[in-house]
Amino acid sequence: MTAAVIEVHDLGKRYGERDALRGIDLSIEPGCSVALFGHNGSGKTTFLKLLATLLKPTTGRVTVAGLDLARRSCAVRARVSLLLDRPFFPPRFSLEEGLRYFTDLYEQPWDEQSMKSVLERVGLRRRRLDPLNTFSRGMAQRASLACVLSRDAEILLLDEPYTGLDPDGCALVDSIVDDHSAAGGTTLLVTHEVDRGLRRSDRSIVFRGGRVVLDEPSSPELKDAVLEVLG
Amino acid sequence: MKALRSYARLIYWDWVREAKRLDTILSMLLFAMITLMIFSFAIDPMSETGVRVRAGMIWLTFLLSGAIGIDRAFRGDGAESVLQGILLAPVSRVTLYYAKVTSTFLFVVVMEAITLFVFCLLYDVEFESAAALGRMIVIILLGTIGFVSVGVTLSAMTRTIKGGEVLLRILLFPLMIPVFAAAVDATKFALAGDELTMKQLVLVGAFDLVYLAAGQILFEVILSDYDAS
Repeated sequence: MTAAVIEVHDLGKRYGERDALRGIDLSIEPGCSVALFGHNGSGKTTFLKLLATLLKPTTGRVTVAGLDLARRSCAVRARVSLLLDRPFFPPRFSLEEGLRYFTDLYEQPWDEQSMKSVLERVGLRRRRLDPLNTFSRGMAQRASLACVLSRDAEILLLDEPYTGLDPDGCALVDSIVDDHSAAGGTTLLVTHEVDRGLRRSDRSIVFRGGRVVLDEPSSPELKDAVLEVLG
Repeated sequence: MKALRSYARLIYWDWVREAKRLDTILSMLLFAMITLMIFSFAIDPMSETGVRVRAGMIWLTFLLSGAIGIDRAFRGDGAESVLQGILLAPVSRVTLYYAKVTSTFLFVVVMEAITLFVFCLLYDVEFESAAALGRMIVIILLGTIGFVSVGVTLSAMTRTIKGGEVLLRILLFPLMIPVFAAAVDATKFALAGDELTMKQLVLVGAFDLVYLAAGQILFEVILSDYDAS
C-alpha cells in the first residue's frame, strides 16, 4: 500500500465561536485527484488553506508528503501550490514582472522559454507587459493559473479555479489538472461544478457544516448522491 | 544560506514595488517637510527656545512621517494578496519579519536623510566635523531600528482592522517613548557637537534589541494564522 501524501487526523478549525471544520479524518494517496464539493461556508477553502499552512489548525494533526504541518511548515510550502481568487503579485506589476517576482520568491528555476510557454498556454502572451490592475476577472484568473504552472509543486490546491473563466479557460484548468495527475501529482479541486468535478477526479468529498459527509470514488453515477447530500 | 537569499529577495522586490508607486517615500517626505515648516513658523529656529527644542523637533518629525512608511508595510493596493503569496512561499516568518523591518528601515532612512538636510538648512545647524555628523547619523540609525522593529509588527497586526492606520499610531507612539527619550537626549549632545556617552548608545541599542526580539516573536504569532490575524 502506498503511503498517503496527505494525512489528516481529527482536524478542526475554529473562528471565534464558530467551527469552520470539525473532526476531519482523511487520507489521500499520491497521484490522486480529489474533487471537494460543498456550499459556501462549508469549510472547503479553510481545508485548503490549512493544508497550505496559511492557517493553523485548532485541533488535530496534518502531515503533507510525510512532513508534520505544525513543525515543518516551510518544507510543506515548498511542495504545495495554492490557487486562490487573485494572483499573488502586486497589481502594478506587469504579468511578466509578476511571474518573475513569483518564481523568484518561490525559488523556482525560470527562464525566458518557460515564461513564453506558460504565457502561451494561459493565452496571455500578448498582454504580458500590461499591469495586472488592467486585467478583467477572467484574465486575472488566467494569471493565477500562470503562477500555478510556473511552479513545479507536488500538490495542487485549486480553490474554485473555474470562476470567471470562459469555456477555453475552463478547458485550460481541466488540462492543468489532467497533466498534473498524469505526471503523478496530487490535486485537490474545490468546485461548485459537480459534473466537471466528477469528470476531473478519482475521488469526491462533500463538506457540510465543517464536516465530511460523503467520501466516494468519483463516477458519473455519483452525481445524484452528491447533489442529494448538498441538498 | 537559503534564509539569507529569501531575505535579500524580499527586500529587493519591496524596493521594486516601491519604485513603481513611490507613494511610501514621497508621502513620508512631503509630510516631514510640512511638519518642519510648521515647526519653523511656530518657533523661531534661531531663538533660544528653538535651539533648546530642536532635537525633539527632528525626532517628532521622524516619528510622525516614519509612521506613514511603517503603515505602508502591510497596506496599499493589493497588499493582502501579495502578503498571502509571501506567506505561501517557502520562507519562514522570521525571515519575512527581518526583511520587512530592513526594507521599511531603508525607506524611513531615505526620508530621514533628506529631512535632516532640510532641517540643517532651516535651523542653521552646522556640524563642526565629520565625526560630529557621524555621531548624529549613528543615533538616528539606532533610534530608527527601534522605531521600525516594533512598528512593522504593529502594522501587520492592524492591517485588516477598520481604522487600523489610527490604531497603529495609538499603539506605536506610547511604545516609542523610551527609545525616543533616549534618542532625543543623545541627539541634543550630537547637535551641540559633544561626544556621545557609551551609556546613551547602549540605552538606545538595548531598546532596539528588546523591540526586535519582541517584534519578531509577536510577528510570528500574528501571521501564523492568516485569517485570524
